[in-house]
Amino acid sequence: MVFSNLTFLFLFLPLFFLTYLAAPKFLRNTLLFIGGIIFYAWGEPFYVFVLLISVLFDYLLGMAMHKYDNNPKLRKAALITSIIMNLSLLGLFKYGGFIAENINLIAGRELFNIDLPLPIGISFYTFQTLSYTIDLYRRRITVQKNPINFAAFVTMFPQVVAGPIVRYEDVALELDKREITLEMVYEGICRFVMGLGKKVLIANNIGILWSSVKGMAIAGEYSHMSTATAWLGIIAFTFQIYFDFSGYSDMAIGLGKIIGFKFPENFNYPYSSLSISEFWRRWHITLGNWFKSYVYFPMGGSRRGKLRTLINLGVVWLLTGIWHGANWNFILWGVFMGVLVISEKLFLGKILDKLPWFLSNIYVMVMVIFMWPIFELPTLSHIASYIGLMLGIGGNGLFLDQQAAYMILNYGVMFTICIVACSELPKTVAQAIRRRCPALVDYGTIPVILAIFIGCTAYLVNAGYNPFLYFNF
Amino acid sequence: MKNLHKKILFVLFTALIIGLPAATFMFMPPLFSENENRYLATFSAPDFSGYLRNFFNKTPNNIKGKQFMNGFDSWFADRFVLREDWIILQNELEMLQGKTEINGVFVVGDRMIQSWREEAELIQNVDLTLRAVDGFAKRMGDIYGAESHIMLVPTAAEIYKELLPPNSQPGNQDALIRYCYDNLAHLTSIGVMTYLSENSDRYIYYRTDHHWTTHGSYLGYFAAAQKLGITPHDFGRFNVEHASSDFRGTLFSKTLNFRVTPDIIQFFSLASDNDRELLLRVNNGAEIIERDSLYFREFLDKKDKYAAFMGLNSPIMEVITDAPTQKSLLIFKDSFAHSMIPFLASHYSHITVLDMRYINTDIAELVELQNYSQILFVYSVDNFAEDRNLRKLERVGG
Repeated sequence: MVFSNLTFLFLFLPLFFLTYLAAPKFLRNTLLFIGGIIFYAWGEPFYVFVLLISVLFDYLLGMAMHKYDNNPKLRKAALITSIIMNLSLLGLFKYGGFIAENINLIAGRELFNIDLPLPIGISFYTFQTLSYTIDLYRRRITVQKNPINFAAFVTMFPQVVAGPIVRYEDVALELDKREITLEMVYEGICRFVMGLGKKVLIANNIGILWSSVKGMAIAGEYSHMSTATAWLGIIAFTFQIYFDFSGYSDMAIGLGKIIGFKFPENFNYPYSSLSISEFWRRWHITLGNWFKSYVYFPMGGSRRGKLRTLINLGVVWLLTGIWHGANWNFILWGVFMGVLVISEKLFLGKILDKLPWFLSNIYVMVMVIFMWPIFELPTLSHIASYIGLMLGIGGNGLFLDQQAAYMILNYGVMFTICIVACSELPKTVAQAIRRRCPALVDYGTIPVILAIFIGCTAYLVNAGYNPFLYFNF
Repeated sequence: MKNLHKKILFVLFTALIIGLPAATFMFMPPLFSENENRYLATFSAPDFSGYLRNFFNKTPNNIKGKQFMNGFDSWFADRFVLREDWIILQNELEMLQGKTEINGVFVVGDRMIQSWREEAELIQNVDLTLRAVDGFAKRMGDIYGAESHIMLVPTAAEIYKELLPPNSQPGNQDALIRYCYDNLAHLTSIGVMTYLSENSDRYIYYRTDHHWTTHGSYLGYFAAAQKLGITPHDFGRFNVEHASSDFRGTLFSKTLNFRVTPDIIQFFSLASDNDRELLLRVNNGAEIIERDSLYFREFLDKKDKYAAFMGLNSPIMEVITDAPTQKSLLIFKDSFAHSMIPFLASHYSHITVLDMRYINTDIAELVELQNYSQILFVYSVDNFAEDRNLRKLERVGG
């Protein structure tokens, strides 16, 4: 199931909350577990067993580490088993087809044929359970003896399919004891509805523009496209992916608050960044932190000299690319990001520091926008043609044609909304008003939130286009 | 009270997420949506064994077990309380953003116009249809000596091109019609474009429906008459009956825009019609119905009032009249012909109307092809270009 779905909003959500609030506290984690399984199975009625097996194994390995607390060898064995098992699941389901395809290509004949549909959210929940066993091994956390609590941690519906990647230590205390307060519920509702609005009213809407441009690009109809069309399309995607994914994270964080959890933040106005390194500290924060804690730091981080630092960064960015999907374009995308981050570490950072902020921001946005075709288009030739068209090579030879003019006419308002909504301006304005007249913000929030919710419902009743981009990762 | 606003929001939000589904289950709407003009979704029981069987086939989106979930989702959305009002709200929000096209329909002034653009492989598709139609016409001429004619009717998007929003790049129907006519060596082409353009200030297309009005189809009849060798009746001789003045058609169904004035259904009749006898035999695929009129007045009380012209699309219709002539006509058509056939009825003793979209057998088994001295194709050009069913004629009469 997804959040932006009538069945979720008007059946699952009310039924779950009524039961959850009515239930005695000791049953709430059980409800969270059962609710999560129903939520997950609605989208994956078969792969839900992969999720359950993963939960069971990591629970048992955690218990084993606890039982053989004095035996370093056995503890290490348990950890290695967990790592191998989680990465194998990921490897089989996510990368199996890709690896087999490339082995076949090298061998020149079909040796393997792995063609499994990707289980929703596998990249998220394997990283979550890994954080548990690794942190347990490092003695950062204590063991979870109650299997229901552990299962609730992995499968709770706000974050099971698309993150944020909640680490066990983030919610360890709340799993055992949490309060539901009016404050939290209120903040949770506001956050959830804002996220829903980002997804349904903004991302889906601007996404229609990108899907039509992408459709033309994939069909190879470059001769009908102008340079402006290519730019409008990829800028539309730039907004779509931000509002889609950050909207999803907002919804997850909001739902978490309503049921008493404080999930980590996942986005912090990434399009305001002044360098690519900063961009990645503000975009999909929980993934960046995961790689930092479990890959970059263990490899020595930046403490083993300049060369080693650069190698470590390169490895992290390669893995980040691969995490996003089993295809060469994601690897290329990761390498591209890595090169930018490393150049900033070496020399570019100093230059960016001296530039006026808006020039640095423009540099970041141009890089980000040029990077999305690599992320979005399936083959190298598509990527080359698309980026070429953005630079004025190929296409119908025009910078602006009727098609692009018509897109501007139809999407001009939406682009303006996107630019404002991804900046910190709305927050700054709200804070300024709050300083002068807090009641205006308090009571003004009510009609705004309800209007967004009602607008989203209107769009969902007649839903034609409603994909979640980060499900495929 | 410090936290009053928090309580208010909590109560209102909870009321919405509980109240709307409760109302949905209390007031289940009927299965057929009149305004949207379609059957709402139903769902079937879960089929988990089917799901498992189909799991490893290569297209995950076709996994059968998810039919229940997907079916349930669309069933719930289709039956959702105040569904039409939600759609109206959505369309208003779309227009508020400056979108000029809602669901493929332009709303310009007091008129809706179905958008039409040239799809990527338009000419390749048209060529296949043209080859089938031309070959069929040639065989009918060679074998039975029948003469074939074709009339491709432009839609409102062509006639009211200048009303469309700037840069909306409508397809060029004029060029497409000319291309088709140029590539049909064995048919006489009937040009109706000029007649329609010259009368564009008259009520020739419906405001809320994609069809032409009775006046529009009179112009089609007038243009066709000259090629068919019949003398058309003067426009002034017809009595005009306003059979209904609250027709909201297919374009309304797509936008649910109540602001555009509803349409008028007009029946044109001649004084002499009262003395004449006529039999309409409709084979709708399930049964054969006989009537003594081409007008189905019962549809005037329903949503789809255009069906008052000869009813809904049926595979075969026969019009048998007492016209003092032995001429018979075979028509291949889409629904644009429905309002034009009444004009032709007084000139032929026998007209057979075939809708190839609903015929999957060899038409030689359904009609005696040798009985017709004239064959007429009447299609709206967009439908002619995109519909693939005329290609079935490739095999006929060979």
